[in-house]
Amino acid sequence: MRLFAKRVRDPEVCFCQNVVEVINGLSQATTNVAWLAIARRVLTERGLIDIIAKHADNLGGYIVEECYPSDRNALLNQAEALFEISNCEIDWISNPSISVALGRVIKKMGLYDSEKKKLIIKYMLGGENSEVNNMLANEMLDLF
Amino acid sequence: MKLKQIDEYEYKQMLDSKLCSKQDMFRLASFPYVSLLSKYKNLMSYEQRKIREIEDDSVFAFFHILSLLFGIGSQSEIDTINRNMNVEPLRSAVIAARQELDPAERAPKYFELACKILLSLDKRGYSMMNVINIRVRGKIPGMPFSNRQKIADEWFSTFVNFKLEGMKKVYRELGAEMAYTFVVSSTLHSLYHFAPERYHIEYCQSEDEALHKVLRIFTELKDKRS
Repeated sequence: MRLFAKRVRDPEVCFCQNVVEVINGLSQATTNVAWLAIARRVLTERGLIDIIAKHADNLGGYIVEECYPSDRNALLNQAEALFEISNCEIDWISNPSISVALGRVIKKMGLYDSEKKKLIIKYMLGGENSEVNNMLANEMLDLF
Repeated sequence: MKLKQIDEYEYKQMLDSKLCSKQDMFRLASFPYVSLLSKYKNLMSYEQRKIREIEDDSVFAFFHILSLLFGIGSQSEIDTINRNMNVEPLRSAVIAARQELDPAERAPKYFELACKILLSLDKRGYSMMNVINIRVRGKIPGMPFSNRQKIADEWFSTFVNFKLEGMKKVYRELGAEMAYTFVVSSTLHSLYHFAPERYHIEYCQSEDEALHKVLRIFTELKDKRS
């Protein structure tokens, strides 16, 4: 029971929560040294590290309500960061916990199927826009 | 002769400034840190002996692992490390090093992480959530609930961090070859500082000769113990 938790509705806090959820999946597949380095690099490159630095310490005391940026590009940048974190270096096929955690988060973000497909092909299927990859991405949409 | 050594303040200042030459590197390497024995008071003589042994073993483990990572040592051990680069926990060091944005940082980062990870391995292997947990080689004698072991582990962790900071700095600015020279020189300075009475360097003509003597006596001592 989190009696004194603060209810928060803020896209930045919600993103932090999503990062934590994705990292949770990643941490079952690799050690803290690796996932920390991956997350730090991706978030720095995408200019999102400040959001984490600002809110990460308080996250435990919040009840986070779903809330996403109204700017479509910002939302896509966040989604792309989550895809990149979970699919960089660690093989998602032999570590299903990664794609399960990512799927749970992406489902909530309200992306269009075409956007999801683009991200799946880019980060999970090697980036080639072939017929086979398109077919695979269509099947994987269920997960996301 | 006596070895000239620098203190922690000077060491940290040198880490923040640019290293220009080999002399700077040797000066940086002359920071010995403090001995494990100096962290305790009121020790019995057998405890002192045991702690000295653990200190030697731990410093030797650090030196041995870094040498192997730099490709110096027995071929079978080097091959084992290379084979295990694709397997956890060493794979984490490779992954984390690859994430460095500056390519020049990748090799020193790998050496740092791989060394820390290998020093954290124990009989049970490694812990996924705490892959870097540096511990001394051996059990410090003490009563139940004594915090001597914790003090020793913290001492070793700080020792390793100091040395690796210096190694990374030298690697970045003077290259891999100098970085290994730094590791050797720095370890020998520490060994001498921890137990100067053991090495009898009074009649050595130069610093180089003195350090060679420290290395020779220390390896003889290690061989005798094993």
